[in-house]
Amino acid sequence: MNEKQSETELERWFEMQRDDLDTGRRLAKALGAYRQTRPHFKEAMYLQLQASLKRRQRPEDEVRPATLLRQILKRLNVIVEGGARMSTSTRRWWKVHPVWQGAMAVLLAVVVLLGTVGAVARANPEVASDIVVFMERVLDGRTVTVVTGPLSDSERDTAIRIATSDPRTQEALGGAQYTVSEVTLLPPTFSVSPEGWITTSEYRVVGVWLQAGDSTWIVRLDLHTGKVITVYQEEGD
Amino acid sequence: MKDSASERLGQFYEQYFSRVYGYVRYKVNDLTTAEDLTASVFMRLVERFDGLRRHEEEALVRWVFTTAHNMVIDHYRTRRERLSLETLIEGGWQPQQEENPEQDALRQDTLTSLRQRLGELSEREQDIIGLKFVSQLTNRQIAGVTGLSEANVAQILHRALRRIRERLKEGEKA
Repeated sequence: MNEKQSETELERWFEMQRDDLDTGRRLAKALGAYRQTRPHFKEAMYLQLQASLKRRQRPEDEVRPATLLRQILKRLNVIVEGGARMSTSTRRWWKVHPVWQGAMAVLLAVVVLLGTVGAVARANPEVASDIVVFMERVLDGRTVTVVTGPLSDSERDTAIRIATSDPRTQEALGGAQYTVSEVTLLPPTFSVSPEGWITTSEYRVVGVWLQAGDSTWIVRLDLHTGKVITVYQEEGD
Repeated sequence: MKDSASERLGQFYEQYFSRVYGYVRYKVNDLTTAEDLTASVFMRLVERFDGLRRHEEEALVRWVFTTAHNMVIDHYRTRRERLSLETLIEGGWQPQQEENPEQDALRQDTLTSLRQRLGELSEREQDIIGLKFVSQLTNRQIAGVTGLSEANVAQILHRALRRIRERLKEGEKA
């Protein structure tokens, strides 16, 4: 290839790049419109994602009964140890009055138990009020609240029935044997009422996990409408 | 103390939500389905976030767009519908309005022509065009999502752009 030919080739290449760039710009400008969402969709979606993340992280943060008992025993132990450091006169009083010793120990245990349960309930309101998710965010000056309450047994049964009878689920499973591994309440897909509230009675989205062999299928459905929203396969890590 | 998972999710969401939504909207024919599928993609992200958040951003991007791509395929498979960009308008899609009416009219014409040209491309080409110009992914990111090599993505893009350009020129002449 001579020098003249190389130059022509190079010019052609540059021209091609310019053309591609020009067409690309036109496409980018035109197709950018697809990224536009309805007002508040992005905000509301973010709200429910954070709520969902919070809900998924909660089991690790929850104080389980065993932990609670350990905490109580630890506190009692501190008191017993404290008792060993009592003054001579106080020890003598305890020895002289063994009945009081027993009564006071029981009373102290009750006080400590009530105090610990109260502290746990204050730290985790859902332990006391049974609310799974509670989140607030201001959108355009309105406070939008997501409240997701506990799933009742009848709701759970209904969710399993809706999930397993849906044609999409049956097609996904392809006649394979399955077991229901989890039924859980999920934050709503997207719904902001004019009053700015999303409540449990208005919107109940449930996830049903179906285990078929090595595959896990997740059926997301709305209990309020009784319809399946999506069926998808959970990917392995 | 700030929750790092929540913070990471927030940053990722802010950066990629519109791009994922745009890609899904580009691929499906109605607004509600696009919203629902996008919601499903991000819900799955949250379900797996404990494992995924330790990955680099590139891996997260790959995971999210691959999931979106698979969900769109799943959507069409279950609904037995054919992907068509033309049906977007029937689904309520409205292009962004320009302030200048003349520019707007010009843009509408361009959009109509582009839409027709895009419909003539193969599904893979349409997919790559969507990932590139709607989701604004780099060729490397597109390669990660589609499983093609970066060079192959560049080649397909170049061919697709050339075909669109040629058809547009033919249209202008006619």
